[in-house]
Amino acid sequence: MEKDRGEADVEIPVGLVHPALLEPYRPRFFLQDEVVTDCEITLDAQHRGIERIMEGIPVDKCNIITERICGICSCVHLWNSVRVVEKGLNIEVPERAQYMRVIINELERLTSHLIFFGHALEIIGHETLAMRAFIAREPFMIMLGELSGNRVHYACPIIGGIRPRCNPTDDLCAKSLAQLQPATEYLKDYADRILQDAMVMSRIEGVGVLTKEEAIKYHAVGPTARASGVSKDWRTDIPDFKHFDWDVIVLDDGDVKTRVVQRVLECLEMLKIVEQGFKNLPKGEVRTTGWKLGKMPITTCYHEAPRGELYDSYGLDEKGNVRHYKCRTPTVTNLGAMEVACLGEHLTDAVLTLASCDPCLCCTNR
Amino acid sequence: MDYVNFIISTVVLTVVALFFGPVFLGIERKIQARIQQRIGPPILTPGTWSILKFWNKKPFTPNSPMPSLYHALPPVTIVVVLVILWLTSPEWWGLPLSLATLVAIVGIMKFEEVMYVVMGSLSRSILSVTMPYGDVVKGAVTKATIRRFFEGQSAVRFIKHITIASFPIYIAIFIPVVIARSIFVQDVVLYQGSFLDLHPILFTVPGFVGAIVYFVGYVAQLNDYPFTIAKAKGDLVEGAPLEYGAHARGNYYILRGVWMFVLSSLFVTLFFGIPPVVDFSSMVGVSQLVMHVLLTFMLPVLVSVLSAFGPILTFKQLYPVSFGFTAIGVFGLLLAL
Repeated sequence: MEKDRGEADVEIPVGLVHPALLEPYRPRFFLQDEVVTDCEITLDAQHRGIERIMEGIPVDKCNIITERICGICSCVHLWNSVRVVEKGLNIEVPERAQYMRVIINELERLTSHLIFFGHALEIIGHETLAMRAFIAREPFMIMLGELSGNRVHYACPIIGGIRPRCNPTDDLCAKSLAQLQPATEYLKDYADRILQDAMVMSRIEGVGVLTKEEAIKYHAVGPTARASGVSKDWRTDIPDFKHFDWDVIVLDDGDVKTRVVQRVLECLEMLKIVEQGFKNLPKGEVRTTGWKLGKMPITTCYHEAPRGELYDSYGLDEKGNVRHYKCRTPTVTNLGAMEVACLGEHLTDAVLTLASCDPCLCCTNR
Repeated sequence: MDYVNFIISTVVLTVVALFFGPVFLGIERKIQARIQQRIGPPILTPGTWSILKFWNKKPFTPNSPMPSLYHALPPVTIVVVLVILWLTSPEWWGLPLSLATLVAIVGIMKFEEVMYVVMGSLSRSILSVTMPYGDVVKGAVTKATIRRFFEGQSAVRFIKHITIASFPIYIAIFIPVVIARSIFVQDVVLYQGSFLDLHPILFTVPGFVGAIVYFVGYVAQLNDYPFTIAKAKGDLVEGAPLEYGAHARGNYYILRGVWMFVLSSLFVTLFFGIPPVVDFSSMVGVSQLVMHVLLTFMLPVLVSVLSAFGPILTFKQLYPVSFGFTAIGVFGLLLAL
């Protein structure tokens, strides 16, 4: 049954500047006593006009700017933007480059999910576990730095492959594989610690429920939707991921705990993918040459960003300049679901519920 | 009454509280940092050097309907809570009107709690309603009659907090009263023997139960994790004290430190039988004060550990926790009978 948006006595507006929000957005909570009966989220306080900047610039420059849409999920923005050209102009990507794109992308997804744990636990007030999320995250950041040369903006995918500096030596692959083992153990212990903490569980269990029907109706995407029983992950449609054996994690309960557990289990799948990637990394070139830029009709690509469905679409003119660039990030489609999920919750839990949907306003207000 | 000793005792205890109280803030932060595998700040930084820094900052006028009263609340409350410390000192036991009783002390403790309600009512930070952002525009949801500031909501929560979360510490305070069969601090202390021949209430079964309940109440009184719903960072940022800046922020930190010290001191007096005696004429007197101060470190250290591992409890968890420990306290009272 869908939740009612009821009457309210008190309104508490939160943000734009607020320690729990991390980025500027404006949720307005409507309360009866302290129970949220309605919620309205407003965006665009930091609009940067990235789509407008793209108009008419060379596609290579455009791709680099797409990476700047977000600092947490930069790789997937760049990759999806590159895929648009590759799809539109039928450019082949060597298998080794496909592997490396997946490895970098999944390591980035891991770091993103670990930020989520840190953020959610900070909001419920468990600073120790929040700090440990960042300790667990650090080995993956180091790995990304060693593989790509950067800890944040990796600039790995380019049209037709990957940048040569992201082509690891055998020694580096072996080293990364060796680093993966202790990092995985720490992550598993950390996840166990969260899930076995009775006080943490009492804060997140049964809170902020988003039913499957609501998730579908309000078009929730990504882990938020998958934690409400909606089985959709764009990675299953991307050929680069066909080389790997992994599962889409779908859980049914739809509360904050389920959203945490879903991401924990997803982290383990990512680690499986990364491990397979290093073990089976094929030899060969990392980029194709010989293709030519030219007029390309508007082409659309979807990808699975850490927070859900990412959409990029643009065409090229005769000179290879970008026309009609459009990007839609996961959070903007999750907003409706976030508003509904926090109905009926205590104000403190409502803020936690918003955070548990892992909003990224940097992407959304691009 | 020896007025010279009375004044010396009062001044010395005030200095001790004003020095060690803020140090507790540093100890708390340091222990939490080490648990979180961080280095953390030097022990004197959060409570001592930062207060000096705040005092030297440019004066800051808070967004408040009564800024002077808002600024006056921490210093006034510091004096009021110091009265609790003074009343547990032997020099003050002889005061008329039965002031040196635990009933009077509980009454004074209420002042500190109500102060937060007033504080919340007097603050209007820019972080919520007055944020320059177009909320009430065409098409926006407009259904509530009151647009409330974080601090106002914090005041509402403090009222609930006073109602619910104060029970454990009051029950625990009255366990020594029942054991000693007297509401006078003097009788509770003397019941436990002299300093060189102590039989602390803490080492009896009802006393131990009372100490556990007192500890929970102590954390609730300090509004520290996990009892920090009225100042929850996740939604209310910091709640009532949000608008304190510059010297007022320094005063607020002193208040917090002194309150920690006073409650710890009360615990040592009631459960160890060692009151804050100021007697520099003998080694026993000096040792008693040193021992008292050393034992006051016990509760802040335990609080730091609990806070590092406890998430904020919402009222859904706070009610059962508070009622549960109140019930344990009542059990302790029955044992004491």
